[in-house]
Amino acid sequence: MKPRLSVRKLGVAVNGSVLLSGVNLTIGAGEWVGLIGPNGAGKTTLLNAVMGVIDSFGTASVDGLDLAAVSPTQRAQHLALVPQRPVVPPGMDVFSYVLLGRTPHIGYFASEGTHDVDATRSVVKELDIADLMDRDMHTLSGGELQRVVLARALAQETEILLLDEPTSALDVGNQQQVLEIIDGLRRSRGLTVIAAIHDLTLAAQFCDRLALLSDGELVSTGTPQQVLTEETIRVHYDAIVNVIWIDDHLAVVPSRQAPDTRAILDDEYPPQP
Amino acid sequence: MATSLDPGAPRVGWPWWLAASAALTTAVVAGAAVGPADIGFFEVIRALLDQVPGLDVATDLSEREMGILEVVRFPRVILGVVVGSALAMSGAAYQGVFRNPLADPYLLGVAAGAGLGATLAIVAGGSTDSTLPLVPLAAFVGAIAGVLLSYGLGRTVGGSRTVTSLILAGVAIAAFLTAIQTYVQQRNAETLREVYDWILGRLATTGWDEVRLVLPYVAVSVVAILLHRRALDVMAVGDEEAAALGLEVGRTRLVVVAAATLGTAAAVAVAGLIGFVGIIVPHAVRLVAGTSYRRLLPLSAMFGGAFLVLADIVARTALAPAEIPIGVVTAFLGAPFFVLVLRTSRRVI
Repeated sequence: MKPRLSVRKLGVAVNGSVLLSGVNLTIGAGEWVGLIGPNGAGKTTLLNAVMGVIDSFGTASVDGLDLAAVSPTQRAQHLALVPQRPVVPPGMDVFSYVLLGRTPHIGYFASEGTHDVDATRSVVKELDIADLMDRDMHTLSGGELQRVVLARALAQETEILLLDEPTSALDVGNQQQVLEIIDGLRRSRGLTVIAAIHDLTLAAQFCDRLALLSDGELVSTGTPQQVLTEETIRVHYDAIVNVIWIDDHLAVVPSRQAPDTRAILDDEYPPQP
Repeated sequence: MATSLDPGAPRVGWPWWLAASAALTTAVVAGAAVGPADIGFFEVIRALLDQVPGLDVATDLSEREMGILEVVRFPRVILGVVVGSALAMSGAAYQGVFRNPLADPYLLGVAAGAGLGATLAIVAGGSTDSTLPLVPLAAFVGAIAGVLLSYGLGRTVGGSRTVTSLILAGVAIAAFLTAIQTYVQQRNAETLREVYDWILGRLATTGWDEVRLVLPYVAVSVVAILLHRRALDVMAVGDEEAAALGLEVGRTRLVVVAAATLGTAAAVAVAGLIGFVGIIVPHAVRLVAGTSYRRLLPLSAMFGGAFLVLADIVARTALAPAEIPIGVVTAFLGAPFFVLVLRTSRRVI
């Protein structure tokens, strides 16, 4: 598989504290890589650093093009980001919002041309959200908003899509639908997808490979089967789970342990010497 | 739910151009017609058309009435249009780059800097009535200096991307400059009235001098802000997302603030501190025409000009022959409006 996005020794430090360090990751064209890891592991930081919206050190390149050497506009022609909690602009209608995705293709002082409007309409049609176009952004449900934000990212016509927890605010039905849409787009458009995903079962079912981050470092990469072991999850998530197979897919199921009553009592009433 | 059959980029539709043009024209004609000397609306329209190069429109006005229009009323009305447009558009621009509905053109210390500059000039012997534009010049320099200090401080403490640090720096600088201005004013009590008159704002003109003085700066400001109308729409999604869309957020904010500051400083230099126009007008436009800056900026400029001319009519006539400071009129109308904006803020902000 031809390498598309390559990250070398990528790190982020804010006010002296290291949020991400020494991340090396190569992602092939058309591949879907899931970023997993506990809260605060650095998933969002990694996506933001690759996108260039926060300061970082190390290198990130697309098809050999060093992203540090190009303007934000050129960067946004290669990478599109779907943020975890998108800012919903007051009073903006959905079509105008999706049209913002054309920004990297429009001159600084220029306005959208026919091609930009056509490209936006095409995305709207592809995602089947034409009935939302006149709506105010504030009136959208969580699932609708996620589709609209995805549409804005697709309107950028980039080869790489960065998704930060695309399903975290959605019910199980919308989670599946959004991920299926992304998978369909990946195949129809040949997109390369990097998605931070909390739900390990969904990550295992949709991603080709997983990259496990813990305390700002990349600790494991590989297929879901290689990365998602009960031992790895216990060590990095401090969680007791069962990893099981259902119809050729991995599922990670939390396993509730009976409380160790003796240990609790020992804590409360330490044995007398 | 109705669906747009043909959605496109946001733009100012012809009904809005028509409404804004009608408001501006009505305000200009009314502003020129109202005054101690009785001049009819239609005579004013004829006289205005007569000013258009290539048009020769006969009027029934006497030479004295034409003199009143050409030397007194037209310059004052046009100054009102220019100052009102500058303040309203700058207010809209500030609200856009700071994503803060309560931002006004004075947010980063323009007013405090101009106030200090004007006070120092008046105390030093410059007069607001003098033909030597010492007070406007000092106010202009003070306004620019105030914003430079705020921007410098904001960047030092928070980096170019931190909006909150910029706004807080503006608050700190404004308080600091106002403290100096108050001290200077108090130590020179004999100039108190003149300083106070300046602070409350007025559209006094001596022929076309003030318009000529302010117009080039306001023109540059208006053009520069209008060129950023789409960038301001992009900034509505916040700094990080705007950057992810390829916008150079820090540079855009700097340029728009510089342009808005230039227009505001020029307006303040000749008209004093006229409040609320920069908040009332953009929010009124948002309420009726939506939040896109493609509509908001040009419509704010046009309605802002109309609003200030109408406010000036109230200032000149409510207690005639005495004049109410125009800043009092705009604030009198602005305060209740501000409450309205806050009450409806869920929808518009």
